[in-house]
Amino acid sequence: MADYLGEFEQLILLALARLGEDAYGVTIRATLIERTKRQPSFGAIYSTLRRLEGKGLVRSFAGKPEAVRGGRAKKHVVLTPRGRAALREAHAAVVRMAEGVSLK
Amino acid sequence: MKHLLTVLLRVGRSDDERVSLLGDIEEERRARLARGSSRLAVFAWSTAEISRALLWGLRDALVRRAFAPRARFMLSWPDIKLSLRLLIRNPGLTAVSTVGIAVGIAIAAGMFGFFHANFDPTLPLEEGDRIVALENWDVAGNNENRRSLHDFVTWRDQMTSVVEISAFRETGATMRAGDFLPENVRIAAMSASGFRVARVPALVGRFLTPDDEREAAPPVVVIGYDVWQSRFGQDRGVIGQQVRLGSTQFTVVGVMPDGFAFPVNHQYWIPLRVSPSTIARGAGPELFVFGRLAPGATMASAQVELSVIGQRAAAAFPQTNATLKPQVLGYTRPIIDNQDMGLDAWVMGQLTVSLVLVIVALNVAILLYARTATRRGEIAVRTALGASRARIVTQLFVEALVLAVVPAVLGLALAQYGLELGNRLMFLDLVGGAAPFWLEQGPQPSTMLYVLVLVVVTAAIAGILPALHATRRRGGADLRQLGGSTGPRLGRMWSALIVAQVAFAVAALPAAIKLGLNEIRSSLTRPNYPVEEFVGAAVLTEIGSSAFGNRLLELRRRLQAEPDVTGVTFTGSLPQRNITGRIEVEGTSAEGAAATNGMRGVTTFGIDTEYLDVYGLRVVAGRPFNALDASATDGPVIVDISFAQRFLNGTSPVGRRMRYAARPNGQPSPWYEIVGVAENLRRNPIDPDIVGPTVLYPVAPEQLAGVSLTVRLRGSAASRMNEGFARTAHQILAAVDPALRMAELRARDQAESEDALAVRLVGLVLSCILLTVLLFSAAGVYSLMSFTVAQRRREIGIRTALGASSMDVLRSVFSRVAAQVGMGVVLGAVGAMAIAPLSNVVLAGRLAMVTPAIALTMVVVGVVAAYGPARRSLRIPPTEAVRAE
Repeated sequence: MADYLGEFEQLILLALARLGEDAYGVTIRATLIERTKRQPSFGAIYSTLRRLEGKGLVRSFAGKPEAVRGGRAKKHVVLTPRGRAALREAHAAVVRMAEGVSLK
Repeated sequence: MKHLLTVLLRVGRSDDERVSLLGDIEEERRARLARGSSRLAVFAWSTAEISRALLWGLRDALVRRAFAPRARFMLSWPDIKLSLRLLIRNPGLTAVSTVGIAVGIAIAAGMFGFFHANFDPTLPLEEGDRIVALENWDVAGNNENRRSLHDFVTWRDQMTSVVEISAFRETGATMRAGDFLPENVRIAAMSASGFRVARVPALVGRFLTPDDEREAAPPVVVIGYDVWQSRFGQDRGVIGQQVRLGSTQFTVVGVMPDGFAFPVNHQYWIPLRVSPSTIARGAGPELFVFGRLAPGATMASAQVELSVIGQRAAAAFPQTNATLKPQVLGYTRPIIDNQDMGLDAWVMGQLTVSLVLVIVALNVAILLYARTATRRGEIAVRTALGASRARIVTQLFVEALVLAVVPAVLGLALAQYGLELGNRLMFLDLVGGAAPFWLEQGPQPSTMLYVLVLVVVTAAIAGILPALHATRRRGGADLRQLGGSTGPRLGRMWSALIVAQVAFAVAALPAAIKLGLNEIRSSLTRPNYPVEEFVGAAVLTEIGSSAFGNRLLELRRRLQAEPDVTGVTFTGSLPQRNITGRIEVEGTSAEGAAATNGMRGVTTFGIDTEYLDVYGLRVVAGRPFNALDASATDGPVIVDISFAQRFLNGTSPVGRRMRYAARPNGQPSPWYEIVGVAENLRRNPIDPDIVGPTVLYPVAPEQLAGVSLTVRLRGSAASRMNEGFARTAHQILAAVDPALRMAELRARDQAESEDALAVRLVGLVLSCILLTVLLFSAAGVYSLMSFTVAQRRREIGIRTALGASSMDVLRSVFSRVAAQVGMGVVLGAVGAMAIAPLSNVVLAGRLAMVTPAIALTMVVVGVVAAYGPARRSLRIPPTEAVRAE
């Protein structure tokens, strides 16, 4: 069956699709701020990512430590094929629901 | 503290997620600073972000374990509003609690912040937690041994679990470049590989390379950003320019970026040139050795490897290495000198300090208890209307939480102030002034977090304990009492609390007052000479040189020739005479000698023949030093009046001999003849005895490699300094010998105020504690006393109805007050006697009155507290008092 996605989960998956290889906490948050005008906390983003990883929709791998991060490593995140499919399905559902509805 | 933060952030998430999360926050924090956001705004943001991350982790953990599908505990706005209203309605309670909690939190948070900053802090470098220090620990002397050049070379060549092993040694020189005032600077003579350990590239030019370390290579220096900015106007053409450090010209080859002060707080780096072939094992300069853990290696595995190398060295070189155990340590450990401090010691210390706050919270609980008890009616009504016990306890908890928030902010501010003083003092002592590069300024998120935990714990103790007690009984009984005036009877428990409060105050306060008074009196000690005319500086010979020889006399002669100068003198210490310990004066009784074994020691230092004249101190008996004294082997000494009073009851010591008594591991010093008595250098207008005795001995320039130089000027030294005396002094010094260094050239009254820092810090802490204990004792006794008497209203009414006179009633009330306070005083006095030997505080003289005075204060507070409610009860018509039943 298709994976059910919450709204914030969808936004995060979209951010991952947009960022590709460059997705990690800071860039994901920056993308969300830029495009949704929300100010999500890192805690919320990581909590959601962990849930998504649990569902097998994303996978993560550790990067190299960097001085600008106080010597800490990044956790990179990428969409899995299943995640991409879930995103496609969720988006299609929204489009279908919105068909012929006037939001003016 | 990063340990606490690490543990808390681990809740609900994996290690790599935690690391990445903190990395994200750090990256964003730096980006915001770079964009020009204010430090305060960025700090507020990162604190909020970390707090939210903690909450998210906690929430996830709870959701996962299905402990709390829906949050039960809610902070509701009506509860908060009600709490605020109660705070305003009870200003006394609010004020006392605020002061108490603020002080408790300040002490705990100050201590926490201090440990956080200095106990294995994270180095702000790439993989900073993998940079380690290597150090020989001498198990015989139980201290570090840094004359480890040969071991350094062995470690560097043989170790595989620590790579890029480097060393640096601290040196100093007078820096001369361009038109600027010459300046004594601290220099890191560091292995070129040290820069690779830091992994920070040069901003301009290059950093040091192994080539620069060769003996024949031209002298080069890398400078820091601050120097580049202040001395070279950020000129990129600085590369290739000449800088004079001491007597050597160095070529600038690189500029390091802003904020780079590795290895500690340095702005000048020169190559470390030491060759094991010319230096014997166990000799040579003191080196600080460091490196990076190799990929895959841990502190433990590196220690195993290093221990094996250490054992081999001990077997091969038993003379020098038998008692040395090399250690792998956190990078900052040898610098901060806390090598042997374990996490458990830290946790224990922190728990002990947190206990202060628990005591405060218990006191607040007592105060709140009185209030909660009077609100039983309200609680009963709410229960009857369907509020659960949990709901009511929650509300009382929120009240305590609201009560604790303002003092928490105050306490944090106070802690920050104390912390900055403490850190300044420590780094002045350990690393010569500037803060080390890893020290983070401003309040740290982890400290805020700790304070948050403290606030919740305080509120839990102060709010929940009384609430549980107050809601324990069934509501029916309280409801019935609503219309009446009796309220709860708490007899024995309240009596016990009053007795305990009084006993604690009587037992603990005198010692605290004595310490506080001593501190205040010491701070009144003033120089006995016109301090505003004096300029002081440290003058040192070049590194490696043994003594001044004639150069110091030449310096003195040239300075004296300046028109504004009225006198020049130097003081210094000889290692062999730099002994502390009990003083023995020949021919005095053993008691006289034992009396010196107190807190105040004897100050000892060497002076030249000009010293007493320059300071204007008269010789009141005997003679001053002459030019021959310094070379005499039995070394005559001059003592001050304070010495004569302390050890000889004011009789003249001239002609007697004195020595330093044997310490557990040594011989007594030789006997020194006292040839003169001089006026005290300092005086205390309140308590002359507080000025410690001084012993002066003669020194000559050929015995010294570093001195404190004192110049007395005509008029104000501060304004002469402004008019260019500093430049003149440096020019004269350079003319005598450019290799000589001058540091800390300052008007003496400025230096004095810096010395007062320590006194201020101790005074701050002591007076805070004193104030809190006093306040709580008085407020506690007052509130308990007035509450218990108010509880007896009905009894008083009935007695009056039965014909008792006002006097009878008052007598009955006050006899109980007297019994309770009296018992507290007796217990407290016994307690005071019991702790006196432990706390080493003996109350003698006028201070002997402190204990009775505090006891009297408690009695007065008790009587005043009881009088008001008792009078009010007497005014009530008896019919009204009895009607209740």
